Amino acid sequence: MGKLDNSYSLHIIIKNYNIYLLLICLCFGYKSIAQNTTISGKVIYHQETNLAYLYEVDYTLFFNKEQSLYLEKTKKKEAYQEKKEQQATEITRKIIVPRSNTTQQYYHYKDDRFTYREIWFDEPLYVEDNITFDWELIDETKLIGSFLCKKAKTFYRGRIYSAWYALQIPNNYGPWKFRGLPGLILEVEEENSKFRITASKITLDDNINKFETPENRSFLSISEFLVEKDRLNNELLARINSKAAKGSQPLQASSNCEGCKALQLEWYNDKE
Amino acid sequence: MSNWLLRLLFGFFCMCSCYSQVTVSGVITNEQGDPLSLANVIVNEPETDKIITYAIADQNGSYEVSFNILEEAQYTITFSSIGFKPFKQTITKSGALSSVLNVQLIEDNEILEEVIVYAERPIKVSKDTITFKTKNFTDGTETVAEDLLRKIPGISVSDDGTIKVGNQEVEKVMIENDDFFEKGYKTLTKNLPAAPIEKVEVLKRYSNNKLLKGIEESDKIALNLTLSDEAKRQWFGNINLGYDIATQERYDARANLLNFGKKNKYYFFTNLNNVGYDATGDISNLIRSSSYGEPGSIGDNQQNNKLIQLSDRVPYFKESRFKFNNAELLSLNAIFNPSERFKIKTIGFANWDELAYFRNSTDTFVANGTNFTNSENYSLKSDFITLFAKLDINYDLSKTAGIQVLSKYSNTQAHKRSDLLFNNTPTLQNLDDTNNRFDQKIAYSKKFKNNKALLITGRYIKEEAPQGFTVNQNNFFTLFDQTEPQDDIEQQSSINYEYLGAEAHWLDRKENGHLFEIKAGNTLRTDQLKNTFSITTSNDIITPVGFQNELNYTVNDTYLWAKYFYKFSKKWSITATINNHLITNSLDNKTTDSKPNKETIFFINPSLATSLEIDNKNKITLSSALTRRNSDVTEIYTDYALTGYRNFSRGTGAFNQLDAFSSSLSYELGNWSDRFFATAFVTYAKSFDFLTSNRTITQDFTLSENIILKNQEIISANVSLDNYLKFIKSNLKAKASYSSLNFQNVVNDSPARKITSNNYSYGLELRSGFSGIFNYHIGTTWRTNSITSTGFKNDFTNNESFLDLSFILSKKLNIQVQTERYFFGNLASDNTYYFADLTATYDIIKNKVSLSLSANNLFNTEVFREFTINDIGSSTTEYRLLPRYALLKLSYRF
Repeated sequence: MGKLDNSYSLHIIIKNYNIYLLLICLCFGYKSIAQNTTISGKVIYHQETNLAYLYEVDYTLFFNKEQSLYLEKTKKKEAYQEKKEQQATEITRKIIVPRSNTTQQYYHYKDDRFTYREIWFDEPLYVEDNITFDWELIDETKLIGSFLCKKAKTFYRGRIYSAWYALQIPNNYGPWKFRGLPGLILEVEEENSKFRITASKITLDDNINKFETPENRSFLSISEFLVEKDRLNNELLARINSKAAKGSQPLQASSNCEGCKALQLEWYNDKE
Repeated sequence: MSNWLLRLLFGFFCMCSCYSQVTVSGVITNEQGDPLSLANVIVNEPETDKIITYAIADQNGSYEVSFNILEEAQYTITFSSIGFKPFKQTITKSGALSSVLNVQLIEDNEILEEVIVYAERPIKVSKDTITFKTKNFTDGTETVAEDLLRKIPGISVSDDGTIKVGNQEVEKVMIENDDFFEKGYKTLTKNLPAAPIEKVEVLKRYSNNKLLKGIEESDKIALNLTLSDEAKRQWFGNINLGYDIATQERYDARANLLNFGKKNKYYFFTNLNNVGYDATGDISNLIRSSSYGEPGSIGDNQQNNKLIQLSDRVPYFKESRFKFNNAELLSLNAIFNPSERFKIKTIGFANWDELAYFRNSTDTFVANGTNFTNSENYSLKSDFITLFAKLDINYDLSKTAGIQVLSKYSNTQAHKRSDLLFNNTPTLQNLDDTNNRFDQKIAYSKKFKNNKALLITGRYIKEEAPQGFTVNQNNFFTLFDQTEPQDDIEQQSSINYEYLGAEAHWLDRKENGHLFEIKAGNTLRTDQLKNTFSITTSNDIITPVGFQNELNYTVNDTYLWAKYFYKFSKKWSITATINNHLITNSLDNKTTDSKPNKETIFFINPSLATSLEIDNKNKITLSSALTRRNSDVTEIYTDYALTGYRNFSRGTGAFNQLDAFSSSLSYELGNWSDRFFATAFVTYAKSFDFLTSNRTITQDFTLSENIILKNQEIISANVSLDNYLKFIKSNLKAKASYSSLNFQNVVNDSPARKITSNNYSYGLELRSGFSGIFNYHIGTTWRTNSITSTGFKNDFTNNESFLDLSFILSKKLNIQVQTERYFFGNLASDNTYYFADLTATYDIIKNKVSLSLSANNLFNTEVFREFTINDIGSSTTEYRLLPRYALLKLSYRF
């Protein structure tokens, strides 16, 4: 785009937060009560995605013995933001795509089905996925809060993740799409720190068994999801490109260029 | 059950002492015998807590684990499920390769009230700075800095090399806190080898003056790279060579060479071209003052005017189409850090350029019952030598105080020679044009507690611009008695000035985000304008009275400036500025014996701006200002001075201040990336007093003097609408603009003539946003200009259209074609012009070698005629253009 009078550059972000260092350890305690009901649990996780920008959001994982729901915390409707900056001959435009009240959710059913609702360009997409994590157990331990955790590693859609799971909580669910370890997953980190989930508050009780179960609806398969995501992406890009300055080269909606790959968390195979 | 299993295992102990695989399976139930689905089964290594394998029970509570078992070792299997007591079972080697183990777990609801945990982050974050150790993020495939930056979380590098942190482009990329390039950082990041980079720091809310960080309004981001010692001896850079394969006449070559050590850094740059490209453009980031508009920028707006400009007209399009040049530029730059607190930066370049410019024009004059037509056949050749040196010394006195000493020197020598046919009379003009500028700045910054800072800045500038001008024809023979048309005329002139300024600037960032600033200062500028005009006749040298100037004009300005930025909410802010000036003017005319004229005036310039976001879709900004402006020397000099081969001009001869009011309103509906987006902008300005001209125009010459008249008005408005059409994936843009100017002037002793100039333009554009290889952008604009005065009207309508095509054929190959069409409504013939340019780029080795072709002026249009109007007539001007050429360029990085 070098020598043009105006060149626009642009990207879409959802929300920026500042990084903060510590969540202070407040309190913890156990209570032993003999009860007949099945135990359920609630864990608050802090999820950071650090691709083109740092995106931080809190999720709550509800689980019992048979199912789990990982639910994004509802936030206030965000305003659409745009900022234009002019420096010498270059104009940078920032567009912050807002989010409506719809949240992302990941649901593991009793019968091993797995569905989620992800939001792309403020459009909810409902997907049914089938993931088997091939966990490699690593003989490393660390304390997360008061829980002695063990480490495991897996390769999932192009990236290597390490997870820390608590044997003390013998349940095989976890945050985001992760599951399948002999203990609740309390922490996950992508090897290049591009993605990180840390538990911040853990509650086990017998009365947190109300699930906001996803409505019964039709789901997209992964291949349909990818087509739909591409369509939404291209539509936004088309709108942006068609308004770019004269002479500027159109932005490319390429999903597997070297640079774009670094900006995607999950790399899907061609067969998916 | 366990006894049975143990006995079984013991039986096998004596037989073998090597690994063998064992499979244990069974069903896990609760006390009632109901299956416990998803219960865990963990197998631990003997006497450690290492988990060898695990399994999760299915819907029916069944499980199966397989693992390698070693002789005499005791393995533990643990069965657990949430809400149940874990059950442990020891296993030793037995004969059975598979065994069944059914388990009943006992309920034990251990309820955890609430546990709050804290997590540590691997990335070091201190306030506004994030540091990354690069070894954690590299895998050895990185060749240059941008490859490495791409891997750092939160930093993105686009294909054209633009670096962003989060959603924002970085301001600069520094090496060990040193910087050459500022916004031109791609020269660095595309060439610097990645290997020696040890640390990357992201500096948020960056300020060019580090002591103003957090105080001045800044959301800039900078990167700082720390190098290892091995970088010291490494030279790196790139070279681009372009050669015209069509006519073998044009070339474009440039090279960058860099060496960055811990203490000393060097950067060499060279550019040779004759394709109309201004070589200093590549290093403009090094030359220009980066502090423009920032605190401490006193004196940045000081400049010099010249009496004589030879290339007076330029066509209304790309400069590189009509600029014939031959430029050679060499630039040497270095940064030295003798100690941690001490930094020296030197920048220097030399530029040689030969410029040529050709035009033929016909000017028609119609006013006051007189009319005539002049023709000019004009060619201009200029030789330039420019030398520039800058020395920038920074010294930190303490953590909260620093001092900067900045010295700049520049020298431009130009020799210009113009061959001209004026109404078929050959005329030769020679101009020696020199400019010498010395600029010295000292700045002291001090930071105080609670986001307050003080800056004290001193500046001294001395600029000299002598001009020596000769013409071998005397067009003024009717004006000066005893002269003939063939006499030589000559003018030696100079406008020199000295500027001295000092300023104290106080910034106070309040806790609520409001910013209060106050400045007090004094500036003194002394201009010396001098011209000696003479005509050499066959037997004498005549120096006409009234055509010689020698004057000193001094302006002393003591000012107090205050600004308050008040933020009511995220959506509404107001900025109020008040500027008090106490000005003393003094005009000393050396050509008369009279005493210097002096005056002292006081005035206040207030301004107010507000911006309001009514809601997500509606935004308004409004600003108004009352200004009084003090005239400069070229507006007030008393006698006529030659400003061209047939023009004289003079100023008002007295001090004056011009009062004006201006106001503007802008409105935005929707957001830029919405399907529908509209903007409107209206501005109105009224000059209560304005400078205009009183001209005496004859066919041979023009005398022009500045006069002051009352009430000039300008109103302008423009609207643009964007509408994205989904069915063709294209954006339709409609634009319209209108401006109207009302002013007066005097021509040939007329009474003040009221002149109205109206401009309208309207156009449409359509641009695609296809995701495939092909995209287009097409547009057309009509412009109508009209100028009316009593008994006089001039107008025309022109049209410009363009069609751009873009083909991104693969990641390695892309082609851009740009075409333009110009139509001039008032030209009877040769009124339509077409242009087409093509560029194609092919990456042979990514980031290493690429080949590109740029073919310009494909239709080989050699002249371009344009029609313009003014209040005294109209002009048709024909410019010579660079003929077709095709540069084949090779870029190589080493």
